Amino acid sequence: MKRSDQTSARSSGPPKVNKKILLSEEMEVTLKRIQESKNVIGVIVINSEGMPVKSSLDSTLTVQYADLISQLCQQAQSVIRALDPTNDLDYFRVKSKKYEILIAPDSSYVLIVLQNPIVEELNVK
Amino acid sequence: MPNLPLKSPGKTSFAKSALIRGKGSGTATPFGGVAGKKGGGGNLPAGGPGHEGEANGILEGISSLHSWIKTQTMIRPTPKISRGKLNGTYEEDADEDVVITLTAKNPQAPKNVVRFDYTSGEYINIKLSETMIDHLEIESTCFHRDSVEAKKQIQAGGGAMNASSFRHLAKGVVKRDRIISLINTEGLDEDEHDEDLDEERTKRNQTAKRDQVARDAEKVKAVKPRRRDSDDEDGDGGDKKLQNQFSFVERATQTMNNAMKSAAIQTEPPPRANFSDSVNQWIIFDAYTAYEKQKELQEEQEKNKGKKEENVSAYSIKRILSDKKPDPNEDLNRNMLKAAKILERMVNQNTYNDIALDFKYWEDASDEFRETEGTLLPLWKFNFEKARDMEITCLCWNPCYTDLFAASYGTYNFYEQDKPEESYVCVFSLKNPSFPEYLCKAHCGVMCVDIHPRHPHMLAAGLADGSVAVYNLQVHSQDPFYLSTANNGKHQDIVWQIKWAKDNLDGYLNFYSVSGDGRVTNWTIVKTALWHTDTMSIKFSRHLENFSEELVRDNLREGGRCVNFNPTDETMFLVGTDEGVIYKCTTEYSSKYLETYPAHNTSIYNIAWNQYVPSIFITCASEWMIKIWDHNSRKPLFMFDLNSQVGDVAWAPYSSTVFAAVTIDGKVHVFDLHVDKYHPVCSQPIIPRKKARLNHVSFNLHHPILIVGDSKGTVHCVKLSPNLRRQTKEVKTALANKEPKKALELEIKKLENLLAMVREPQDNKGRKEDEP
Repeated sequence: MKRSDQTSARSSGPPKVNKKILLSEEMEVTLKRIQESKNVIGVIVINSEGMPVKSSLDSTLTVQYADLISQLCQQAQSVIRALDPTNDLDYFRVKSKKYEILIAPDSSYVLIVLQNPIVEELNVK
Repeated sequence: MPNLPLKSPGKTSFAKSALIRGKGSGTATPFGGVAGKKGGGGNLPAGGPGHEGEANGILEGISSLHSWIKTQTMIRPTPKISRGKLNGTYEEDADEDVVITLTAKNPQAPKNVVRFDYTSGEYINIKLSETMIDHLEIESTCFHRDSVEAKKQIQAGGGAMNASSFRHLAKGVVKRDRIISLINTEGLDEDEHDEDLDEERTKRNQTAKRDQVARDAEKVKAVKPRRRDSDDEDGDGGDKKLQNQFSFVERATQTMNNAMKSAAIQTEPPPRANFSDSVNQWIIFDAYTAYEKQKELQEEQEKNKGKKEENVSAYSIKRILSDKKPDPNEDLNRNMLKAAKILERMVNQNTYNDIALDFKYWEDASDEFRETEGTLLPLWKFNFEKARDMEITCLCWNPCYTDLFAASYGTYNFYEQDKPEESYVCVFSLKNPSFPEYLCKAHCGVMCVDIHPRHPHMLAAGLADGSVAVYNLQVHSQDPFYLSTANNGKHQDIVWQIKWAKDNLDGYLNFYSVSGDGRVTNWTIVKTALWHTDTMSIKFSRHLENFSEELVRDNLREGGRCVNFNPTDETMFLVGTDEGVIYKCTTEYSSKYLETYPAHNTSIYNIAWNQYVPSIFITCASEWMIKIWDHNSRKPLFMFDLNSQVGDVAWAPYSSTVFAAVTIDGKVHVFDLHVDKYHPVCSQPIIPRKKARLNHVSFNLHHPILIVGDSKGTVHCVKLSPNLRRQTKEVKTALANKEPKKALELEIKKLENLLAMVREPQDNKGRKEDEP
């Protein structure tokens, strides 16, 4: 499986023991809040292997996103670290015409948020 | 001319010798005078008559024989040039014997070869040794029997064709012939060698000549053994085949070629797994850091083992007992939470993108056309779901983190004080308008909040039931770190204001609270407990007619509404009361006031000291008025009427002459005394009228924004337009040159000048009326 090859290519210390991610309450609440924010299409949480743990989108789309974005995460991390090994990637955004993907990667998970750009102007008053 | 005929040695000439005899030696000839001795050999008589005479004598004899031969005198030209001789004649030349020898020397070889010799530095003659010519060359197949090759051949068994073998061969032939001839003549039949003989012949001659045959046979036999002997003499040479290049036999054999068969084995391939990995600089770096960490851990473990084994065991037991399993999950969750927060902020940034940009970059261009007036640009709105029904009771910016501010929720409704069963202090960040960063719970309405200037995680809050709470934001708990209880000095009335003070002499954190029960209390956090000290109690100011007892007045206390410490003098503070009186007090004396200011007629909502000129303070009360005072004078310097109940007032941090006030009708007023002493520079409604009251206002220390809290629990953030942030040119240049002190001085000067104008006529008055 190409997936396992790619994850095995990550060498950040000892192999990850926890593949199951249990989300704490606070985390759940926060994710829910994000989901209910304006113009958010979906929220996906992926574990280190690229398997989606939590998602607000349908399964096919989730799996697709999970696979593709985890690959992208690795690439992005490789870029940052290759430029300076003491540095590390915090998060990055991918803005496309139709929507924006906000990605926060980590060694054991990846958080993904899909958001639509604002079309109408906000009336503050 | 003596002629010396030179004769080459070793030469004979027959013909001439005869002539020489003929000549004799008597007559002297012109030629052979001397030669006569030598016999003048070889010279033909020629020349003059003398010769003729001799010649004739000789020739006569000859000529007489051959009379018909005329004597011819041969005439020879005299040689003019002598070749190597002094005087050579042809005769002598003719007599010269030319020697012809056959040598092996190469006549064409150079005879005078020279080489340069480096040792002597000269050209040296070199004689070439090999100048031989082969005259005759015949290829043969013979080599000497004693030569190496011959010996080899003999050894190999070829045998030498030597003379004896040759002889014997020849003999064999000869003898055979003889025998044959013998047999033929005598008719022998016992001849072994003769197989070609005619048997008939032998038989014919058998009887007649047997005896002869016998004799001859003996001879033959005798010959045979001799021959055999000769054979033996020669050894094995005769019968053996001779190896030479003429007799050659080739032999070949063919072996059996075994049939080829190919055999192959195929095994099951071993199980394979594909493994790929990539190596980057950062992967190597990670490996090294992990290795280092492991090393450190090991070292620590060893150290721990060495040092305190008992403690370690107890510690380890503890660890075993405590639930270790969710630990990695906890870490994970923590990290995820961080990331999630950041994501939330990102989402909000996207959502409120325009606002964020406005906050950073928007400057109202129309301010250039408006001379003095400015505007307020509404930015974010901060809400907290759970505190929707409550009012904002206090706003406080975090002194360290410029984007954090604390907002306390409670209610000003007297009748509803006990309603909120749960109230909050929310710490919002400008980066995330949708949800507070930190949440602090309280069991009743929170009426005031303050953040410690040097410890930004310490939050002090005063509650509606009179207790004070201190929250520690570092702890991930929503409950207060310290809470005052009824035993512990809790106030009897609402705590209206709370303010952190400098660490006391022991270094403990402390703060002051003022409440409606008339006490100004100093609370000290001593390790884990909250200690209180009543700094002072506010005595009732107004004159009360007490019909029963006169001592009541001493015990009666006025409710304090606000307290504020002088920025320069830590001991001096101002207390504003519900009655509208301001007392200047000191922490050192708890019973006496330094000064009393009859400020307002209604309760004072806020007192604020000017940061630049510490003697100036501003007050506001619900009676629509704002007053600016000098603490040395009992009369206000400035008075402003805002036509509406004033909720709060605050000085601007960037200018000594700017302050803002909020009113109940939803307006924010910004004044700049330097620009206009009487009217506000900006008067702008933030929220629609009668929807909510604006309760509090606070300037951000770094950004040109204002936060305004309303009675609906919403905090509005607005941006000040450039006109409101005016700084004099001198100040700007000073700041540009990075001279903050100079800027400070300029600001102070600005206000001082302003005050000077106002003060002068009043100063004298103030002093006259200066009575406690």
